[in-house]
Amino acid sequence: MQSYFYKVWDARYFIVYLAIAELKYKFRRSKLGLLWTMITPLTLSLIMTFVLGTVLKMDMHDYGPYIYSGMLVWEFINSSVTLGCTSLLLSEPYIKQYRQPFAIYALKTVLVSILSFAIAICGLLIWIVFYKPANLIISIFVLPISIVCLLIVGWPIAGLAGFTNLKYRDFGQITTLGMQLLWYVSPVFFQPSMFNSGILSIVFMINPITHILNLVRAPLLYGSFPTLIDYGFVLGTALVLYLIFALRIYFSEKTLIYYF
Amino acid sequence: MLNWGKRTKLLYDVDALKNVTLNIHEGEKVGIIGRNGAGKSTLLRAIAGIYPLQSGEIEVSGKVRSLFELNVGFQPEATGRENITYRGLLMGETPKSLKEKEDEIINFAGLGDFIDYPLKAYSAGMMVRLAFAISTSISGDILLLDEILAAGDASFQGKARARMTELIDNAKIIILVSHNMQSVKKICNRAIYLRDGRVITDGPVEDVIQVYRESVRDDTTRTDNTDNADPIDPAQGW
Repeated sequence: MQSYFYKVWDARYFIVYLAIAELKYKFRRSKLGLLWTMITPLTLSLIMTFVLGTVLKMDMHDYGPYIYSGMLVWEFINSSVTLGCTSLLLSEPYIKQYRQPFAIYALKTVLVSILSFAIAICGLLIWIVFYKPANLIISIFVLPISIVCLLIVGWPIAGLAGFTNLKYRDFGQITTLGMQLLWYVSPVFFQPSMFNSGILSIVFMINPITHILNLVRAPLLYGSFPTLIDYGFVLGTALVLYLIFALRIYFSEKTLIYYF
Repeated sequence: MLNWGKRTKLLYDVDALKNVTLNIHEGEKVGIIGRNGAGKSTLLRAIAGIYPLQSGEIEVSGKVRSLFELNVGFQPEATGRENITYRGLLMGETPKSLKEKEDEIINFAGLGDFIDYPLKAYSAGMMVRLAFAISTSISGDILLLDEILAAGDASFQGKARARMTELIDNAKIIILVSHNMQSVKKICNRAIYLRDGRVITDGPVEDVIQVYRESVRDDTTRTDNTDNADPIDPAQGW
């Protein structure tokens, strides 16, 4: 396994260049280009803020950034799963041309997602410069750590999705439904305080996505550090996922070539 | 529609190579010959690490450079210049080493200003030129060649042959899969005849080619359906 990760490290240039290329060609011939990674979630957040803020009678000044931050983190997790599912399939020409660890293609996918996230989060940073400048200092220090944590947890998610979908092509469809379900039990746009039900509070508490969201919301929205519980949940989840991923690599990677 | 019928056969179900034991040493230039479906390309890809073994092991000592399916693995939206970077990085180069080779690759491919056009604007011949230029710019200790000895149009083939000769001379081990017996005779000092995944004979080139020809002749006379018969000696040689 150690030599496997050395091979992943050796392929770092390939991963980075391919990720940048994918982001570049996603918006080819587009006038606004990469700005769409910010405009799309921002516009959706504004719509949801207006609708939900009106229905739920929320203060839109605070609820808007809450939704926006939720959408960005959710989009990262969702794309780690859904794009992760196709990461190996789309890399078939490379895989059949030259032997590289399969995990690099999942890492490339997550890198694309994290770059999109980093661009989109600038919209939220602009908001706090104007509305909560006191949060800026802590955000500058904590946000990079949060982004690294996202990358750490996103890689095994994308990798497991890719390995599984290659072998079982229905998996991609199942994850689409699963993510829809997960959306409703994650505080992406629901605030935990909206629910009095004990069961939902517990679900929110044990849902790793709640803590992943807190890594971004705590510094940006509340001007505080994420709690140790948040880091513990996120890194603990990542550890479990890495263990499963390592086992999948050890037992399955060699024969995955047959499933293209 | 539901797909609950008979389980589709997978590559996993195919035993492409059976009981193959080979030792190839430095200085050997080995030609692998055999009919279509004999397992020649599979053997090459197993050595390259692309196909796994279900049992047994492969020990490879040295830098492997494989040249097969040159046109595969390109980004059509990217320019030729960018594809040089992506393909080179895939093959284990660094951005710095690629920068040093970039001009040489571009000059060799002879694409002129087209190097900065997206690959989807290229003709098939231009793609082949670029693919060949990139893939042969990086030498290796062990060269695996699958039906790739020259590429491109007539004006490019001279350069391509000279480049291949240089690569072959510099490599410590050559493993060449080819249906072209003239090429195998010219380049190789050892040949292996594969049939149905098994090594039928392994030894001096002339002897192995003779066994192969006799085998093909026997099969041709045995049946009138020559679906699997290979042409014995194409007119064109290396």
